[in-house]
Amino acid sequence: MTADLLTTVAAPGVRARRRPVTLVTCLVILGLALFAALFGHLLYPSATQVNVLQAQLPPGSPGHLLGTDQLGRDIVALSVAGTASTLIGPLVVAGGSMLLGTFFGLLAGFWQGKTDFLLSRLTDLLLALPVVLLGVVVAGIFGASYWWTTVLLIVVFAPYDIRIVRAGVIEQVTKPYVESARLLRLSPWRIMLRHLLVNLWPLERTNFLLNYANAIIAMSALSFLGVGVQQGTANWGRQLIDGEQILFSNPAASIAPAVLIIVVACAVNLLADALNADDRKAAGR
Amino acid sequence: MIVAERAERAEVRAESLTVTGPAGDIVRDLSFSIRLGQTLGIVGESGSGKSLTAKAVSGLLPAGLHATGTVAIAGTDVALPGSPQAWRKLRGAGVTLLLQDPFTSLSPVHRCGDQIAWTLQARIGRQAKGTRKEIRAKVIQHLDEVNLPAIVARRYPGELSGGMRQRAAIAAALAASPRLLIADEPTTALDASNQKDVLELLASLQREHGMAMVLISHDLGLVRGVTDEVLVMYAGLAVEQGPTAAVLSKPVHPYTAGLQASDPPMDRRLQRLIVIPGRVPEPGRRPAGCSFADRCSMASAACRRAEPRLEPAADGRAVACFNSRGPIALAAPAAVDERWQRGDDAPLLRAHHVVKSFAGQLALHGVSIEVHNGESVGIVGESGSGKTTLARCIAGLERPDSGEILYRGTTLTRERRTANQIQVVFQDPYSALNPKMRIGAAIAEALRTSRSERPRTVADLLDMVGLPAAFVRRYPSELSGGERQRVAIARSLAPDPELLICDESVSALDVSVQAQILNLLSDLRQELGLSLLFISHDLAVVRQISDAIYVIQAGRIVESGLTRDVLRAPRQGYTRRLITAVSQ
Repeated sequence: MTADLLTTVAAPGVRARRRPVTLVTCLVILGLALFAALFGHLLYPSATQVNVLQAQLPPGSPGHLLGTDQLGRDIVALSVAGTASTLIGPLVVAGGSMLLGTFFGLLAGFWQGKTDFLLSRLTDLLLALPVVLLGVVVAGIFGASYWWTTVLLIVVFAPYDIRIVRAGVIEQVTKPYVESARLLRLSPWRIMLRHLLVNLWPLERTNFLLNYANAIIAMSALSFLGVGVQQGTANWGRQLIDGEQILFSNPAASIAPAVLIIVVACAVNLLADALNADDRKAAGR
Repeated sequence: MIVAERAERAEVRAESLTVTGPAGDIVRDLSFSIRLGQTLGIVGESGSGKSLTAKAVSGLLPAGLHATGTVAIAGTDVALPGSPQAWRKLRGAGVTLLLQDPFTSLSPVHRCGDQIAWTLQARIGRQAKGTRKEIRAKVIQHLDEVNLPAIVARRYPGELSGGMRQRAAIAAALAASPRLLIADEPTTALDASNQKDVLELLASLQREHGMAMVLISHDLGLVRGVTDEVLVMYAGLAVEQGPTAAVLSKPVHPYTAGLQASDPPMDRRLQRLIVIPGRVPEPGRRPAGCSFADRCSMASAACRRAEPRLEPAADGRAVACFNSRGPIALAAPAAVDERWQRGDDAPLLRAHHVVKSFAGQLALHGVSIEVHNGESVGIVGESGSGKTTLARCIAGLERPDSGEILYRGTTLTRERRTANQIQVVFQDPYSALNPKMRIGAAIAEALRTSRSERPRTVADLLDMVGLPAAFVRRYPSELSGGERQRVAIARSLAPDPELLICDESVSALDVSVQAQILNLLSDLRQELGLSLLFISHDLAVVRQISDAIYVIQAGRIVESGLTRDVLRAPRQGYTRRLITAVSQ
């Protein structure tokens, strides 16, 4: 016990210098992304305006650092303006799926038995659905709307969250502190919210951030297939698909959004890692 | 010259061993030597630095800790911390570490035979195919040495019982023919009867192999029986060191005397157990002068000014104390008259023919017990005997397959259970409290379930279990094991239960803390008129706290009666075995 305690306390000292750098870099990247998402349309109000005379300019053209696409839209302006639609939908996806996952995961893990059986089979069923096909079908029925795609992704992501939360709950409920709460005849809701949820928080947070990174990619991929975002909207995924057609005249048209997606997704993942490492440190207090 | 060298080769030495962590020194300037074929016991409360001494001597300190000093094993010197190459040469044939928990020290996904074979291969080198048969034969030979059948070689650790697993771990440790075996609490995870066997096995193997052994334990009885020399550690320092017989029977240092005195006897029930008040100070927070001064009854002003060094004392020992000049007479507290009669009143709790099975395996074969008002009843048995399952059925944490739990004459169903009937204090103080909840909040939450007209306050409850009111703002991780267990007791008392079930509640604690908690429980019992159901494998502990006991074996009650009568004149072989295992 003493030995454990000391290792966990001591370990950060060894790596103390490296983690803040990663953490700060991630926070700067995400801060910039947030800024662009909130104020991008103010910086470049005419980012989506078509200007056919200036179409397909290569990178480095005067006034267009990364050139333009086939509709003559500036790549830099379009990318900044597209931040909001690229990043907000996934945020809703990750948040919504966390809420569903927490709610049903707690129910299944806490009550087990029949509740668990029903919920687990339902999640199995959802897990078996092919995402892309489902996206195309939903788009066919409701139209290729951004918010319908968001809802679809919540439904697709939630089963994983339910499983993860359920596993976390099952691990916790046999611990004496939960059994003591049961013996005090506390209400199940109180046990779940006041005792289980706080101890599941590191798991939830990590999962939320991982989901967010995945949702950015999933949404971009669906936009790439023309499902998520309407044509003409500023969106990184949309830019990827449109840029493919002019890959040779202006490669930056698809490379720029691709790099942005990768950078933001990585920043989110590394942030999750950094927070987890801090948690392990705190756990050994 | 040759003689000196021979002497050098025939012993294991550690000189000025110091282990430093981020908060300060954890082990300070520790020196000892053991001749081959002899055993050194290291005793002390948790937090005294025993285990880290073992890790430092085997070169296995966790990252972030730094060791200085010298370790010399049979003629090979290593200046700590020592290079990886130096340690690789010394580990295995030089020094092997045997750990407490056989569940984690063996790899769960490899067969036991393979794990013993690795050690052999590392020693003789991976040679041509011809040796594979030899290695197999050797593995079986090593298993035979620890009294395990050859078939165990093909078993996974998960398929063995705790005792068999620890034997397999010993076989793997000895396959390297070490000169020094360090056993860190090797029997703590085992039942009393297994403990004795494993310990005897270790002692006989040590004689046969002519190894030096370091036995680290919090159990003084165990150390007394097996070791030649003993080293008593407190807050990282050696406070008393010398021949076991002298040190443990005539302790000179007040700490050694305190440890001795807080070990409960099995042959009588004491009015009050002797305790060492307080707790071991953490590294970096040690007081100036003698680290033990704050807890010492003999402390004087001099003790707080300077730190005593080890100095030679009677019977070839060394003691670090300014004030104690001779053996401290161990106080013999008055024994209690245990004549006690069960009342004629209706029992508070009656478990009637409780049957419980897990996955088709019967854990309880129709067990019936009774607890009367204000009574303390013990349930003793080995692990796997069903004692915890019975407690869980009574508390409502498991649903019995058949049978009844009657409380004040009415059958308890899920709906009829309330918080002010039965509460439980669990074994492990580390998981008994919600790590994310402050102590104050945890007790306040429990208090809200009280139906009393004069509800207590959080401060009342903390005071009742002997903790300062300032603890309300602390998180469990800021508390020691004993303090956490006190908080757990305070929380379980908050709803004013009539029956408190203690499920091995003191077995994870140091003897000194164990005595504190046992005293606390008997005080609370008198003060509150509480009834206790005390579940334990430790008969000496049960003797101190229980009026009547039930002995449970393989899911059946095999003997019951007044504690004194059962322990004095057991009628069943099983009970006799439990008793001899403890008294050795």
